[in-house]
Amino acid sequence: MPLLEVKDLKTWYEVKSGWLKPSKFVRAVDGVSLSLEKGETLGLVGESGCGKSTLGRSIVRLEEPKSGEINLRGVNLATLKGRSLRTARKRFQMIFQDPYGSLNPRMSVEKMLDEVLYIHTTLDKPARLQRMVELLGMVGLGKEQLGRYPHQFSGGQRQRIGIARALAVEPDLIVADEPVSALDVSVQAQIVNLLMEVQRETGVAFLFIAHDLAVVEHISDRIMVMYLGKIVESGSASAVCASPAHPYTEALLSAVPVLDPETKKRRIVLPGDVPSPLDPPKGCPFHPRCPKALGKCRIEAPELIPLPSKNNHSVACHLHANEESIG
Amino acid sequence: MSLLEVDNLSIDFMVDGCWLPAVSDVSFTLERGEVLSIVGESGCGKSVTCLSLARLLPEPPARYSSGQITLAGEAVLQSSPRALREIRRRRISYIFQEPTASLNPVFRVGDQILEAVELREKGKNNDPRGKTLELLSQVGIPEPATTAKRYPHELSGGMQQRIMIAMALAGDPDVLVADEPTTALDVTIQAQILDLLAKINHERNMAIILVTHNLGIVADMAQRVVVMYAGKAVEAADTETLLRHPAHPYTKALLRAVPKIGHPKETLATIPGNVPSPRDFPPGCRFHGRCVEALALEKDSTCATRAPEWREIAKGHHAACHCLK
Amino acid sequence: MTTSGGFLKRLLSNKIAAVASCVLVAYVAAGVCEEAYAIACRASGSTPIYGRGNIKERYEPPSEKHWMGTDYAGKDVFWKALFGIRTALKVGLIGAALASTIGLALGVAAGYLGGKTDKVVVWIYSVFASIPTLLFILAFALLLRRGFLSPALAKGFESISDSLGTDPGMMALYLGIGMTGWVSLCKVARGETARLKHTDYIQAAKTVGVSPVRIVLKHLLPNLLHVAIVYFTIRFAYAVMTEVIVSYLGLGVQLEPSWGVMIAHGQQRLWRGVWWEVGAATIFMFFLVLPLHVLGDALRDALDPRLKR
Repeated sequence: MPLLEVKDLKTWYEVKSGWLKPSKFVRAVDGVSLSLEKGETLGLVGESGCGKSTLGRSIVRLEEPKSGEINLRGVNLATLKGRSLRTARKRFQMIFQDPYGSLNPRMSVEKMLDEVLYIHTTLDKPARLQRMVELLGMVGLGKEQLGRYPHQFSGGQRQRIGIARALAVEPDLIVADEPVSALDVSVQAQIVNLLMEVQRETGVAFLFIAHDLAVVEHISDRIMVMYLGKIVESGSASAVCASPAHPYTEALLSAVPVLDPETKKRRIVLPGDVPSPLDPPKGCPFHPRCPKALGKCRIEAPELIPLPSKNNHSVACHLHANEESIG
Repeated sequence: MSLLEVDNLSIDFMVDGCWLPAVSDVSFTLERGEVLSIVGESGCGKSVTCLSLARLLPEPPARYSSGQITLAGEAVLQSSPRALREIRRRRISYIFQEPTASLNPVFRVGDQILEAVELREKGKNNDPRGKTLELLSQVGIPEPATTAKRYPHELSGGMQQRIMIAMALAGDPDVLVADEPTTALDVTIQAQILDLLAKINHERNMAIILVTHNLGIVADMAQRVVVMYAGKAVEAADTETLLRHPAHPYTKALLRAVPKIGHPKETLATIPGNVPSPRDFPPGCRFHGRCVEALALEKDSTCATRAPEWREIAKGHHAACHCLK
Repeated sequence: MTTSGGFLKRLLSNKIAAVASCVLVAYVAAGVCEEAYAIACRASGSTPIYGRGNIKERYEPPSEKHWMGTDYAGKDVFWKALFGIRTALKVGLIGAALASTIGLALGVAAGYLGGKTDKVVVWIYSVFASIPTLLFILAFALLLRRGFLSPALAKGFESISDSLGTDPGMMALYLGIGMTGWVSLCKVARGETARLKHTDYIQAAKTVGVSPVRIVLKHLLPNLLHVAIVYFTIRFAYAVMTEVIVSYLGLGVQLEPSWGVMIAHGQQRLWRGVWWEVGAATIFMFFLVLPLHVLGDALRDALDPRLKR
């Protein structure tokens, strides 16, 4: 059994449009299923507004899912409430994007870490202190940093503190929501390395959410691509990046600026903007921007189905549905 | 003569009663029709350098402590306020990272462009409204007449950035300075905007200064690159040389630190430590505390005591490092 | 710096704020001494110095014997004005504390819980905001003391204030000022809380499994405290002035010396050139209210976490 199994998760937000009109729903996450093994990293990519952050926040129960299951080690997190949810939080943690906003400006590092240990462990004060020093060591900080406040740290150091806080309770799963996108390139590499190292040491599983495909490809075992609340493609990181099956993934990959000036490959420039999830297009949500759209795409939404030829590589696209009927 | 010449520019900022160096001894040139990229991490002084080109920094807290900026034959730093306004109107335009912050939320976007057109093409143009619509269609906005009547918040980030570009193009300036123009945008939208900037560069032969932290964008767009670190230019070369044969240890480390799609997943090369703030720039070479070159690691080496000179190490390839012969 | 030492240093580096703090410290010291003196007088049954007067010496202008002249009963104006500090400080302290507590509690509850709680709180403060403050306090004082609500209630109130050793008029004032002054803090606290609730660090506390009560007390409140402290100082000044106005109108303090009562009495003879009673009360009030406002502004700057480096 996988560590985490999400089944048909939906997180919708109600938008009241007027007195008498029926309220509409923003389908931020619209029927997503995924699974994650122990010690694995699943990368979740997509553009802003695609619902990737909402999905991550729903899994750690910061957002209230409308329906679906989130099974972590056989416990359905989606139905937990109050005290039982707070206790269960020991098993899953989160790392936030903004290193400046995710640490309470009025709490010292010691207070912050001590609180977590106090809530979830039975350690006494000296034991907690020892554990805190150990945690700071794991993320490359010294114990002299314990008494300091967030504003005395640089962005990268703050992100390390955020990681230490998430690791404090030895969780099985960490949802990392854009953990490096606010950092400078040189610091970004430090944090990516740290995350990979932490995973090797503790065997924690990551759901790594980011918009930067290069970073995601580097850190993830598998990748899922999201568009308008739905998964459009999933597969092993190397397979998705080397031979993308969905036209959206293809465009996304081609749009990543590459370092090599020689391989100035042709960008696939998608027309228009991401449609509003309040009013998604009929049929395949990607069809208005898709360079390869068929007539069928306008009418019928494609299902996420495995590609016949490859292992665990699935795509939601009518172009490949044909392929399956042939093969 | 080059279109723009920046010579030994130094800018300080007054913070808590002392002057901190934001930019020190930066020199570069920009030719007509060229795309020059300035890259560096946050706090390296790249944005400050760009704002100084039209003397846009508020003084105080800023101070131009030395150097020269010559734009199309005019000395920017010595210009009278009237001449400066003229330079800003006709010679140089800016677009910034956050289009939302640069557009006035209470005016229709068409009117904002119209204002720019009227201001910059006074006397030259009899049909500012027609010119506005023309600009809108040139930056790839569908249905210009309808979009002109919208307010900024009704447009997406990509569309807002296009509006900013349309405003910047009014008056046909010689230089377009784009300060992290795509950092706030999604990759697919970033691709659209970069395409548009490349098109503007080709069709109008307009010189562009592209400020960014993304080396991929540099590779894609620029003909020449200036790499900045801690307020100093550390290396400048044409894009291909810089990416293939970087000379400065910082440039080398930066290139190695970027994850690349399709490459083996080993540990990423990192630069130890953090970017120093102007408050505690180290003496000597500002990179020496994080540098892994043998010379810098020696105790009391020249790196720690003497700032390296800005030298031409090969034709058109400048760098500032003691390790380079 | 987040340490209190750093904060004090920052506050006192502003020279005007440092002077204002000194004046306030002097006022508070005077108030404390006066309170001790009043308690001692009550215990021994002697008439306190501000209550002694010779009717033959009424309306004397300032002299060496009476620095600020005498009033209609021949009592010394200086002592009366000086002992007015005690009344003013009590009203200010209790009124502002009550207002700040109500405002902060309701604001945080509305902001954090949202939904129905929020709607109810908004409704309550809208009602309070639309009643003229002074009218409310007057009506409230009348209701409480004259027993319009119910004679039993008035009696109970009287006995409570007696047991606390205070003037019932002052008790009514404390409550009235406390109950009207909380609206603007409540609005600010509600907005701030609603904003802070969505910050990453509050969300992070939630993911770590911190209970809602602890999130409010340990994570939210410390980030609201600077607003409350600034508000408290400003409210303090308003409470002092409100007391003066209400007492002037004859509904507030009766047994204790009060600047409002002094002004009310003094102005009856003002047109005959008896200016000293009104003058003394005004000067004493002015030098309490002004430093409070100055300090309020300085605190706003010193406590603002955004200005921290």
